[in-house]
Amino acid sequence: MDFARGTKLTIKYNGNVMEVTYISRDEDYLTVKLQNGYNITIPENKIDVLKSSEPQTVKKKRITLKHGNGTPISLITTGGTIVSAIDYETGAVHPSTDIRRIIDRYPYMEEKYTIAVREFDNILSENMQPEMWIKLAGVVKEELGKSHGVVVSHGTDTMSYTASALAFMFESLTGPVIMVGSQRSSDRPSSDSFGNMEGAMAFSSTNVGEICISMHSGTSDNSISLHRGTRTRKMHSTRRDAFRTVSGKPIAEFKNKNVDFLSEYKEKSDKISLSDKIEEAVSMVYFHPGLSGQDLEKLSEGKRAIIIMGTGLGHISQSLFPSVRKIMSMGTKVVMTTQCMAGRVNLNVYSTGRELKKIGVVSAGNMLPEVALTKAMYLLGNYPDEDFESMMNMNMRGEIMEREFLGDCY
Amino acid sequence: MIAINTKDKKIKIGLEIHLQLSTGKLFCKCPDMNNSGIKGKFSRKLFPTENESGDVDVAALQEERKNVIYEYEVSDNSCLVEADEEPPHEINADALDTALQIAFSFNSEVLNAVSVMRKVVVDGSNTSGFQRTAVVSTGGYVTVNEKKVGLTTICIEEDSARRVESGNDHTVFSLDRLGIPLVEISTAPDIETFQEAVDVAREIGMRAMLTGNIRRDSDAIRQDVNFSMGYGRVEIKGISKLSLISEALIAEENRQKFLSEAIGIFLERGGFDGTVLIDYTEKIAKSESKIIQKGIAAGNRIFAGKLENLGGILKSGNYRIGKELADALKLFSIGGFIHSDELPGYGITQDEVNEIKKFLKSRENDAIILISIPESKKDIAQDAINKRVEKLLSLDFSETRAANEDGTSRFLRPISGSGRMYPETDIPTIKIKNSRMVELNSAAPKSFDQALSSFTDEWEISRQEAEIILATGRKKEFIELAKLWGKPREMSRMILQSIPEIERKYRKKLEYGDLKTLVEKIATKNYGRISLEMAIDQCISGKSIEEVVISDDIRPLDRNELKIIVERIRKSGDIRKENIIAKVKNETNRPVDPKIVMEIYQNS
Ligand SMILES: [Zn+2]
Repeated sequence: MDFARGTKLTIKYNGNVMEVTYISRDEDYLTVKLQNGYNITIPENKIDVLKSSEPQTVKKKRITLKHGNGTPISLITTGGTIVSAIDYETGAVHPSTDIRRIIDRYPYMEEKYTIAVREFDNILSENMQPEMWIKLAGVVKEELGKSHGVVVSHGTDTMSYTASALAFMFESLTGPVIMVGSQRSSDRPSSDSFGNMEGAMAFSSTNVGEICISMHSGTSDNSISLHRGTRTRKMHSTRRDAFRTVSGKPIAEFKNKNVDFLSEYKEKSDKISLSDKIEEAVSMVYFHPGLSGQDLEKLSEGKRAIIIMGTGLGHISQSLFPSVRKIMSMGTKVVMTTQCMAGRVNLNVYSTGRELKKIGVVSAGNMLPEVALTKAMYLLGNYPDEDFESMMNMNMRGEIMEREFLGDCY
Repeated sequence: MIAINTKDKKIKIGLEIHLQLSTGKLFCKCPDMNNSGIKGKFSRKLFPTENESGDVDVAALQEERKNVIYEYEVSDNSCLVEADEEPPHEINADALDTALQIAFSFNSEVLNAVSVMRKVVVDGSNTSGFQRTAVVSTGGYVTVNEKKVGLTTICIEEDSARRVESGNDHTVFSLDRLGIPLVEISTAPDIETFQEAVDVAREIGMRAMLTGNIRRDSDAIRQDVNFSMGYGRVEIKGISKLSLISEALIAEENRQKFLSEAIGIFLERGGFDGTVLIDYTEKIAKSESKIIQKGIAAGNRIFAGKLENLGGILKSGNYRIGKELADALKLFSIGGFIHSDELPGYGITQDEVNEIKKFLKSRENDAIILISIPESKKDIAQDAINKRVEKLLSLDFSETRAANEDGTSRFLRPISGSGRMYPETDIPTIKIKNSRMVELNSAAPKSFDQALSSFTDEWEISRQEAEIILATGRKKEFIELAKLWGKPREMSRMILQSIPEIERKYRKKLEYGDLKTLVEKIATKNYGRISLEMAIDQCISGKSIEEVVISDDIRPLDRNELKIIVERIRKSGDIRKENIIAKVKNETNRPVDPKIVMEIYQNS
């Protein structure tokens, strides 16, 4: 019994004749939709199919990729979706990049922006690779040439990696580049994607000249925060307010259709400058009790740099020191970050740290480990080796905060 | 008059019975009971998902037009799942078992696999914007007064959030009820009389109670009624008491009867082409009517409109078309309107009425209305009135209504199309093992009487007591307590008589959890029934369990203590076999074992 999804069937089940819609089949079970909308899954051998009629082919709907009449904004999609539609006949969810469906939800946007959609690639966030950052950077540059600002829709899992990589690659920008995602997919009425997108559009029409992330400030739908791409981490696997500016305040907040700036930011510049080389041979190691020198050496093989997430102030077991020396003697840079949720590494406080420093381990200050990773990739791709340590310690894109304050998020 | 003979219309009634389960929530580990106040608040918006075929679901759209921000109160018994901040966990196995057992007990064909669906609901009562629901069985029947009434489906679903407050542009819900498992039992429209509807609802409720997993809150059992008498299907939602079912049906039958008569008159006069609202603010600004003045002061405009051929049937005698229009407006947070059947009135004079009529070129059978709303709501109001009249004219009264406490009901929304469900992708299809089916089937009571007999035999309590325990859904509690206490008969009397008496005395209920702790602690101390009753009394009167349990007041007097008392009484004189017990009891407030007193008396 094989039918196309959507085929209308008249079946006899349990003595009753019913009109159903064929959905799918899994081994000996068929899933059909009842007329009241419910799907039921029943063993094939309990059903008699009395009649079947082919599904009507659905007309393909036209997709609008440019709409509105206001500030020109480019929307680059990396997840292949900004909205979803549901075919209630078959229960199928169809992702779409039809910008009208966003604007329909916020009619005021029509006058405020002209939004042009650029479909970049349809990949899952977790499959994002450094080579894609390079391609994406090229597209961002191109779109900034046409628009006031750029919004990049991106899966949330690796969004802050992409954001910080782009942040290093662009030394200056002619407009805001705002990354946006959602923690509840857009096929749900409660999706946060619409609110996050509304905020992203507003942020992208400001004079910010940085790569930022636009996501919910809290669990409520009333406020969207703008985070610096180099200071943001996804702190929760499911919550709407998963993204936080670590050890600082968000750059801005979008509330009641208004952008309020909360902290300093770099303004957009007259010219765009992009260095789009990335060294992929950089890796990260999470130190843990029991980590062997052999493991550490294996993970470092063929790498130009390795980022260690050490304990506390930036420590690893002394038993690993010989391996660290060996790795460094092969020319691999070793950078120390902390696996604490926030805070600075300091290799001066304890003897373990002092010894690591003596070996030549580079301290990453209060850079987030994943940011230290993209920074190392960027530096090794674009600058001579001997500048590595000094540039690692230099605050280039707001990734290092010289001062941390009580009361800031960590 | 166009003849509409309501007598020819055959009444068809179907029921949907919703029963809350006491198994904890359906898709998370939260308890179904809420113990404390509000722990926080958050607010959300809901955007209906577009239907592939282009149209957003009718009911969903209507809610969206209301443009509401939903506020949620976080309760003690809610977590990230209820807040829609975390995907659902696996289905609660106890809840599913209970639903399956109920299905078996009505001979409904249980499905081998359960597919959870999302039913789109964007009135804010679900934080996700949909209700998770699944069919567990199809078909089956219930026999009442020797008539078989068919069942269509039995579903398991999550209960919605409890509406706490409905304001103009904001609505408040509590998360305490959201996610509690509901078993929904739907009957075919086989029911023909109002009494039969009540009987069927009662039988279904009682049978389900036998599982011992039905909650006992006041709104734990809710009935939806589907009613038709030839003008389309009307769904009345949320009838919380059995006794209100027939009242709601009588009210609905009358509503439809008089409505169809009124529409008959309306049609005979020639129907209407739709009303156009005209700004009448300046012309009536000098009126002394408080409604008008208040409206103007609030920045509203006063609009006037003519309703052709509706004069005299908006509100007179049994005809109430005006109320139908007001209900439609209420949906868009428009408080109502004044119409000519009520005028002069509300401070509007006959002269003013005449003037409006002249202005609108109103004829004899026409009605006029005045409505005080912000300019921005004019089109919405006009549209709502015209759509409602059109619908009534078609003599298709099908819609969803909400039950009121007094047995009447109010317009809620159009009947939702069937096409607003799609699969819940966060929960894989749940296959049910054959061995589990067999087990649940054999445990499922096939009739109340059968269950009663086996329960009575097993626990050796009176049939009368057993019946009350089963019919009120206290089977599980009774078994738990009887096992702890060791004397089932004492326990059933305790539950059915002693505790309710103490509760009446203090007008306060004892939480089941507290009772269980008390029974357990006092049983381990080997104190008797009187000690337990005293402990319960003290606990209900406000003392903490810890305090009560260690208190000397509830400790029975031991042999030595009793000996001293008996000696004291003996010295004071008159003491006989007949009065010794009473005299001892007079001397103390603590529990006394008469058997020991007698022994002491006889041995000395
Ligand atoms: Zn929960």
